[in-house]
Amino acid sequence: MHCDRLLIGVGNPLRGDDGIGAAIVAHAEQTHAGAWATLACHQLLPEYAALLSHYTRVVIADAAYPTPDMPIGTVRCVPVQPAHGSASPHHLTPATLLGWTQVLYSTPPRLWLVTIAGADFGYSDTLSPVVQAVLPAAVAQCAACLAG
Amino acid sequence: MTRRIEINPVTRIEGHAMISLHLDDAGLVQQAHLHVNQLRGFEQFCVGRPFYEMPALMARICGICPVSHLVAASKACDELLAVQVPPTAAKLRRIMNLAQIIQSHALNFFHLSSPDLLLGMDSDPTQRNLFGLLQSHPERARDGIRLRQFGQQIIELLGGKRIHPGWVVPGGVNEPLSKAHREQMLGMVPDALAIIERTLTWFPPLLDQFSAEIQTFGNFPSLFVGLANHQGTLEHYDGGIRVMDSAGNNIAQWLEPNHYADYIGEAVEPDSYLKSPYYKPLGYPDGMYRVGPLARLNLVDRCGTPRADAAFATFTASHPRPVLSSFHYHYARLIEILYGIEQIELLLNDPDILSEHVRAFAEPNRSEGIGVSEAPRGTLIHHYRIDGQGLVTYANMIIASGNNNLAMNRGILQAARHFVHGTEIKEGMLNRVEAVIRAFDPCLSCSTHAAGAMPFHICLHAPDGSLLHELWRG
Repeated sequence: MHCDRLLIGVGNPLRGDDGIGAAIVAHAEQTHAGAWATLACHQLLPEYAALLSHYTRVVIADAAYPTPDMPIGTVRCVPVQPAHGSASPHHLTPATLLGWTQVLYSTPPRLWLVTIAGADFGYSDTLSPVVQAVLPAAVAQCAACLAG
Repeated sequence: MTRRIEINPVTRIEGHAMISLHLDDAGLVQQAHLHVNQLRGFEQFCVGRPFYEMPALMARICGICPVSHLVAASKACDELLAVQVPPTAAKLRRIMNLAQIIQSHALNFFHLSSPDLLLGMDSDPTQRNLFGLLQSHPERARDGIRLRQFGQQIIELLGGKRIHPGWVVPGGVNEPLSKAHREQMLGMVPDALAIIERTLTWFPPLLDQFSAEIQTFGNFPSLFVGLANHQGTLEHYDGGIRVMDSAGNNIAQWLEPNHYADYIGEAVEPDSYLKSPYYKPLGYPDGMYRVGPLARLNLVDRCGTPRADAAFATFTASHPRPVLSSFHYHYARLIEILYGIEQIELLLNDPDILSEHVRAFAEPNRSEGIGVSEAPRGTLIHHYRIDGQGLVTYANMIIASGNNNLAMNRGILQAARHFVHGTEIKEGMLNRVEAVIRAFDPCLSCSTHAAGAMPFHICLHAPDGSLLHELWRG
């Protein structure tokens, strides 16, 4: 077990594909049991700045609205650089959160954002078939980042 | 003569606010209004729903203080069931309510107000924000994060999640506290105590820099209202309603919370969706009152825990009660945080706290229920009526922040009259008007507390109604 690796799944499981973050965490806890620390949450919170400082590699998995460049079901992984600027404690982006960790704790982890383009963000506690189908690939993407 | 400004309501739960200022011929501020232009329809759309849904449904009013609504709604449902909540359940509810107060106060003080307090009201607005605070005072920011984390973690350990836990239910709570969770919570107490005690060391000396603000930020006579107990100590969960006047006289004691409608009226102003509650015996608007941490400290003889009592004694030694300046809501928040941490520790060490008898079950036995508790921002009232099937037929709520509406309006008028002269609005003035609102910490905070970009719209009108100056933010 890599105690210095963390997987965070962000989203609302009651809003259809927005629950992909929590689904990734749940899936990873089965397929990679004990390999990393995991956290499922509705949104990023200020106190996670302290949490991140305890890890060397972190992946944040979240849903995204589809775009022409990122059609439904696309899994995208990008490294996140810390952002240094004003922010609301009620709405933190991964970059801002990493910036907080860097400024406050001086030990920011390497951070990746894995996004999955969703199809349906309505009231539902299930993923759409397209997003459900890419769940294993999304978990594999997270695992690749955390395994490095 | 004024010009009516129409702004479409923002439909998010946490919305926006607007301030309008009206000047006379000499350029002096004659009127100031805080317009809350968000609509909460909860009293209407819960009608027809089963009463037992109310705690979870009403908690959705807010993502910051959902626990407060959970508690007040559950207390109202306790009344509908006509049950006595098991003592351990009441203690557990108290712990969660205090944890909510701690995290909310910490958020306001460290993250929302500290940029003003530590960087200065007139400092560069591009730096006077949360990230500026992180860079200039990282130790303070870390303390804020850890204190907020303390409250949030206790809520999560009790209720399963930090936001919208469903653990507080009609009749009690739905799961007893485990020994492991109790030990985990107790283990966090020393660090939290250390943080708040060092904060209470560095903050009071700062007050010397804010004498003008202390004089003008909602510094006027008013009533103070809150829950009170027979010990004369802080009370956030039970007890009777006490009303104190600005001379410190208890003009009403042990008012029955269930009879709130006898002594609290709710006025409606045409320019705001936020009602203006008032103390009925004095009429409207003379019955203006304040609630929240400052009011609560004004109402008690002592806090009720050793360290908080010492902090309270220090505070009152230099600020004779009743303290009238709303600027001191900040100081009061810190003392309440200290009290909350100590009280949580006491409750966790209660010999019955691990009891498994934490819920009373019953069918509805009454058709009307009222629940009152103290939220971070003040007294919170939930009132429901149900039909024979247990479906809600009527709901009314007096939200903690709403109690302060009249005082907030008067507070911004006072500050504007002191700081605004002429036809030009300077940024420092804008910030001070905002800071009056921040001192009250109304729960419009997702919008009005956006760090460094508070979405305010300030209009300066001439007597003929023409717009002299306009400033937007956010």
